[in-house]
Amino acid sequence: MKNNSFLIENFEDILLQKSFEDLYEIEKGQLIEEKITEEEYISMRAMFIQMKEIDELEEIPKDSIKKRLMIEFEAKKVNMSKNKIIQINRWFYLGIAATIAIVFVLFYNISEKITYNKEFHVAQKLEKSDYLTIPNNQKENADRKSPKSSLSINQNLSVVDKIQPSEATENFEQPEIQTKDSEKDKQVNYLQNAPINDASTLSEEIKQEIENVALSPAIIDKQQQTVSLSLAEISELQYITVEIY
Amino acid sequence: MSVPALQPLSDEALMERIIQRDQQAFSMLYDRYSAKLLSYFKRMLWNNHDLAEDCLQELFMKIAKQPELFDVSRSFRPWVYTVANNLCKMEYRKNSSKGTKISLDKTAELADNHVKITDKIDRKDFINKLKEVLLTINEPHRSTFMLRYFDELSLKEISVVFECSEGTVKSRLFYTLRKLASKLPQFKYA
Repeated sequence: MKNNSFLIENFEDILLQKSFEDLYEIEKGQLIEEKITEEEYISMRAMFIQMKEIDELEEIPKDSIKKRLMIEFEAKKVNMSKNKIIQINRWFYLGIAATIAIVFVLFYNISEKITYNKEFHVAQKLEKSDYLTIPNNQKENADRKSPKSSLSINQNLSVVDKIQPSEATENFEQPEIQTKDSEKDKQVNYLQNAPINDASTLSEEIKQEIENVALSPAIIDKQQQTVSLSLAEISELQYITVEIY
Repeated sequence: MSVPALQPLSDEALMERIIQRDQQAFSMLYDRYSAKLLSYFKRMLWNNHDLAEDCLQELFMKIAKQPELFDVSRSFRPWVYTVANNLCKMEYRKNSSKGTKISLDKTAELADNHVKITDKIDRKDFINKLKEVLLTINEPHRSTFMLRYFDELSLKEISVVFECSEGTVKSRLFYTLRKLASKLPQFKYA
């Protein structure tokens, strides 16, 4: 580093305490290396001693400076407090917005689920309705298809004229369904409202029927891992929901 | 907390309180340093009292607005003199750009003449002459010298202010002293 080779480490002490004659040879040698003559040393020493005796009177700054600074300091303090309040308010409102968003998402998911279940029941209902009109020779084929496809098979039948699967789900309360045998509808409604959840309560005969129709349409609810098997083939038009864990 | 209760607190502790917006701590720190810094600015800025007061206000305004700029784990005195020194540098730049910078050679000439025509040598006179001649010394030698012998900073504190080694500080002091002695020969037998 620049000037790091300065030799006289304690020059202040030397100047204060020693005249040129009092210096050790090594100290004189250092002065010579720094190109300081005897006269220069004496002059520097006199200057240094006088300087050390300086007791400079300090001037006091104007009072107005302090007043201005204190006002500024206080103003900054108030500003900081306001900023803090604003910051807190910001988090409060953000929290409310987040809560609303979460509630909305949850509500949306629940309503989606409800809609899905409705669609499922409509499909079931239509399947059951179609089943009633399928001639015996077409029954087996219809059984192996989904409720939606079974609708297309039955286009030539008297049940629903050219009803499409999507329309079927949307218009599940259309009058053409009501044109069915009202007694059977009642049975279907009854069974829908009171589904059998426990397979163990079924008779052996019905269980056998379930096994026979293992290939019947299955609708899987991905979220709940629920598989619902259509039991349209069963004479009583039952369905069962089996929960898979 | 009352002002007397703050008295024993170190500069660094006061700065911690100032960061937490303690007005009394700020007032205490101002009282401790305002006079010293005003003298420093005055010496550094051509004995211009108004300019020195402006700089003092600017320095404390910085502390009031952004006290967190100070690292409380470090020493306050070198830091505040570093800021003061930077403000002086800014003033030098302003003056040089305005073309109003005092000619150092002319100042030296004035100082020499003033010394020559003065017969009566007393301490006050010596201080005045010394300050005048100091204006002819180049930076950073001048501020190093002033911080050491007027503001009484330690060699280590000065090395922090100028970000250099203590050896460099000693060297600057020694050669400034040599130069002053050569410019003020009338005082050598005082």
